Amino acid sequence: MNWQKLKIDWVELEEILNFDLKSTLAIEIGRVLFLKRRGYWFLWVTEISGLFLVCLLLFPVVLIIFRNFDWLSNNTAGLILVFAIASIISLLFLLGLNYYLWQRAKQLKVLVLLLDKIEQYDSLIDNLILLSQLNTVTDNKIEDDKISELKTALHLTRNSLIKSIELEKIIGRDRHFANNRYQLLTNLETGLINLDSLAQTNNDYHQLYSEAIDLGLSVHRELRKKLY
Amino acid sequence: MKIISFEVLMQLLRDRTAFLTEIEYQKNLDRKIVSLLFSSSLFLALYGAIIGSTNGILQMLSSAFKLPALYLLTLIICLPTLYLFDVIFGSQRTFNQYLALLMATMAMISVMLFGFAPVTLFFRLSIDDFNFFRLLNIAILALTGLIGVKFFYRSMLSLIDKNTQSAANRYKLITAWLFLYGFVGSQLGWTLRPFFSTPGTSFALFREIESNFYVEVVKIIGAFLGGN
Repeated sequence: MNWQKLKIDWVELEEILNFDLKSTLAIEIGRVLFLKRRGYWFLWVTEISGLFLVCLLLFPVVLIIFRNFDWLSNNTAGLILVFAIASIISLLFLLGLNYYLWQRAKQLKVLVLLLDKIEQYDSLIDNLILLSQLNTVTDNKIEDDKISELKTALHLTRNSLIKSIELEKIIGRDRHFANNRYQLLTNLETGLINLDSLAQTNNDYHQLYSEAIDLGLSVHRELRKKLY
Repeated sequence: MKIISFEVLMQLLRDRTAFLTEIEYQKNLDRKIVSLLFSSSLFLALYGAIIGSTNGILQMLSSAFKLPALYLLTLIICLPTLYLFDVIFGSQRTFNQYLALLMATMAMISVMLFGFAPVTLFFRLSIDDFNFFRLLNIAILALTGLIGVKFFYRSMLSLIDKNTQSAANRYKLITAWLFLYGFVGSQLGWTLRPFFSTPGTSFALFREIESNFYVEVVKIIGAFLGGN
């Protein structure tokens, strides 16, 4: 049984999301601040790396400008002054950037939650892989139909997670949608209820159709509960 | 989703064709740029610290910031010329593609310098001839720079469609730009000096702007051959 195929890897997610660097940074900040699952060390490493890079860029600029204006002494005091100015400007820049990323992270909160769910799902698959390896060693056989049921359930979960990410990306693409998510979900719900009332006939096709709509409605209700 | 990762650098070193293809298709360009910027800055800072260690901690710290800054500033100064002129000559590439290619070049140079770091450190600790140490480092910096520039030249050629009318002009443009890059880099290095400092002298953050880089190299060779 190849459980590995059921995993949702980062390459696949990156292809779906195709986010720029700012959004990726905002998601990473959101994962740390909203979920508190990953340690703060990640945030610190990113911040310190950013500070180092900005400081590195500013160091020669400050040095050349201050030297040309003759504001710099050619000794240790001069070095401290250049470092101090470069560090202060870098810190101010980072503060501004963090504020912007925090605002962006708030807009992407649902996506952050979904990505966390995907991480949990992947970890479940990892556990299944481990269990399956243990069963091979201990000759413990699980019935084929149970494996098949589990596989179907995981496949459905996988699809639903990917669809949710795609939906969230479409919603997040437009700020107007993002700000009126509640309205959008209400509209979708009303639309689905209308479709449901049209599908009140007794053949098998409509039965399935009705079930699909019910499922859609329950997902939207669940999503709305989490959001508000 | 790793924002800053050494994996990008490893991909560049191990599979340049795949790396260039990804640049051509603009795949994760911003993440590539930031990762390469971080790794190359780190390696250059380490090498800068070694060459600055001839005259105490302050010189070491100053050179650790100046060396990566030298490469970065040269890139920032020369990149608009390359981009705008290449666009005039018919290029369809984006600014980020040029930036990613130049960052890859800088990363290549930094990795080669990092590779030379133990050799430089060995000579730093085992000889007391400062002129030899300076010449050795100029040779290493020139060699790594030339290999890096060759990589950039080949990468740029691979991105030019040979069937277009402007291809010949664009080849000439790239060659001319590389001379400009070398000239700006050497002059900026001259402006930001000292990277090396004679052992036993007091710390100096900068030197008065006099003469130029090429005259000074001839002087060092003369001093080395004259045994002074």
